[in-house]
Amino acid sequence: MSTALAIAELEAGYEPGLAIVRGASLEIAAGEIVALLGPNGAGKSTLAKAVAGLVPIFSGSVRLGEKEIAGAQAHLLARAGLGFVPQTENVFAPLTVAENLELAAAVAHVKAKQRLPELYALFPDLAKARRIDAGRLSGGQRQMLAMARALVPNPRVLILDEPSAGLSPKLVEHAFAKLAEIAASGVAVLLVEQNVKAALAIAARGAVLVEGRVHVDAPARDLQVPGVLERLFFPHAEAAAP
Amino acid sequence: MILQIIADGLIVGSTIALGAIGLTMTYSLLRFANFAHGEFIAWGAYLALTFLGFFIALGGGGAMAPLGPFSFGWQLLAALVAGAIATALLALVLDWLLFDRLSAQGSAIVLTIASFGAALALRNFLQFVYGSLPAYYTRELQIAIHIVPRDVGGGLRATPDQLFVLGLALVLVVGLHLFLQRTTAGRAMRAVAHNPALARVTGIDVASVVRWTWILGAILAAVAGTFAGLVGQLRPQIGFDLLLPLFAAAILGGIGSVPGAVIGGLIVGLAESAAVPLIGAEYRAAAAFGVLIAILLVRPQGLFAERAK
Ligand SMILES: Nc1ncnc2c1ncn2[C@@H]1O[C@H](COP(=O)(O)OP(=O)(O)OP(=O)(O)O)[C@@H](O)[C@H]1O
Ligand SMILES: [Mg+2]
Repeated sequence: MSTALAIAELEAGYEPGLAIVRGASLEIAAGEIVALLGPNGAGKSTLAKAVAGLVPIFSGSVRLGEKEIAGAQAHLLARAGLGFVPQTENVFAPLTVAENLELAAAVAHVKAKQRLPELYALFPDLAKARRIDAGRLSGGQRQMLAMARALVPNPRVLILDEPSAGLSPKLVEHAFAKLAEIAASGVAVLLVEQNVKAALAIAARGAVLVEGRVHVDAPARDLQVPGVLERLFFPHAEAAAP
Repeated sequence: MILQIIADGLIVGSTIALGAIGLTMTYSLLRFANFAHGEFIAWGAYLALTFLGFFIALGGGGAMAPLGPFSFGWQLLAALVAGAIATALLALVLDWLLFDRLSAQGSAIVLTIASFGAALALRNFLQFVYGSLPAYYTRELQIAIHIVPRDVGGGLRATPDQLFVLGLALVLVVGLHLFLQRTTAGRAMRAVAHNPALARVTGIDVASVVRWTWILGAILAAVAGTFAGLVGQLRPQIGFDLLLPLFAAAILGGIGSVPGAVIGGLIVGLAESAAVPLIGAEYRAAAAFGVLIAILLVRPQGLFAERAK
């Protein structure tokens, strides 16, 4: 399968000289879901934001398909086929559900009249709530809207930062089923998650980020073995134990 | 009497409202209080004066033939448009020279202080160019017409120019509201005001939205300045004197809220006009200050705060 997103030796951070992502490498093929796991503060969100153009990249390469995109402006990346769903505040609260989607369609020069019904078919809950301000949606609906908004321009790559945060187990299952459906349509999905179990259940591979580097990149089933992830998340724990 | 106070308040208030809209929009997108906004009002008013001279000369010189009941002719309307465009350019230059550069690293306080400096420079430059004597768009005298006879609520008189100001302000406010609610550019502005990072990953060119916000704010400021000159006189301090009422209106309405700025502007205008019979004309300017203090004590987030954080 063709590589949709290739991250190589990426260094990125918020302040010059203070790299949070320190040489991370990762590839995702079209239609594949890769779970990006790791302890708190490992730099998962920073990596996702750097790829999306929100955090400065110091060195390394990011390729979207054949195109080098490291350092490109976020709004151009969005139009070029990179969808990003931030961890928090991921919808425009003062705009209605329909306005959120129409705005995304208009700036990407996508015909809202065609695209919105497709998205409403994928997320029937949103169709019912289309006239409601996004700020008044439930947690699950809000997450669906955030995903739908990112999907409006038919992205080749979709990056989600902890979409399961704050959702009940039932809603997580529902949201992840949607993700599997989206990936099956050919979209490459990078799924940043704390909910390791749910993420590995739908992912083909899992990558473990520790201190800004991808330490392990393995098939999901190898990481589902009990105890494996704990050792990977905290590589120094054993040495410190008596 | 009471009707007259309300009418006067609404006329003053519509000028304040147009100015406060720009102030609140700049604040909600760029997160700083722009003290130079008052100078956009003053420059807008004076640039319109310059263009008025130009258009009168273009029409063969002499006096401006009034349009219907108004004191001004088509030349003033053309000057209003040209002055607004020139003021928008001034705002873009100021953004490019100052605010855009500073916002790359600076905090809100740096931008605010910079805007204070820009205001001083703009005001002094204005005085240097135009002098400090009062100026007028037209010396045509206007007879106030009776709209409500004297035996009903004390009666109500207004000049056709005042009604023009009120009418055009209403049209602009409604137009802006529709623009923000219905058009992609307007929704993009609201999106950027709500969450700039999310706007960027949605594909919105935030830099371009910021430029359009400067343009819109400056246009409304220039119209407000021209209104102030039309129903009063032009003075270089016209913008500075409006600064306090503008801030009072924007804060009263809930900073960041366009409808709030409009309502806030009208309330401050009414307070100013009610202050004249209540505490005397010399304290008129204190009314805005009183409103500001009252609102900060009672409801500091304003009447229509959009972000209750
Ligand atoms: N806006 C910011 N400015 C400066 N430093 C930041 C910023 N956001 C995060 N950091 C720092 O970057 C490091 C990595 O944070 P990041 O949010 O990428 O971790 P994470 O792996 O996503 O953690 P979590 O699992 O808790 O979401 C942390 O040390 C954090 O303090
Ligand atoms: Mg995170």
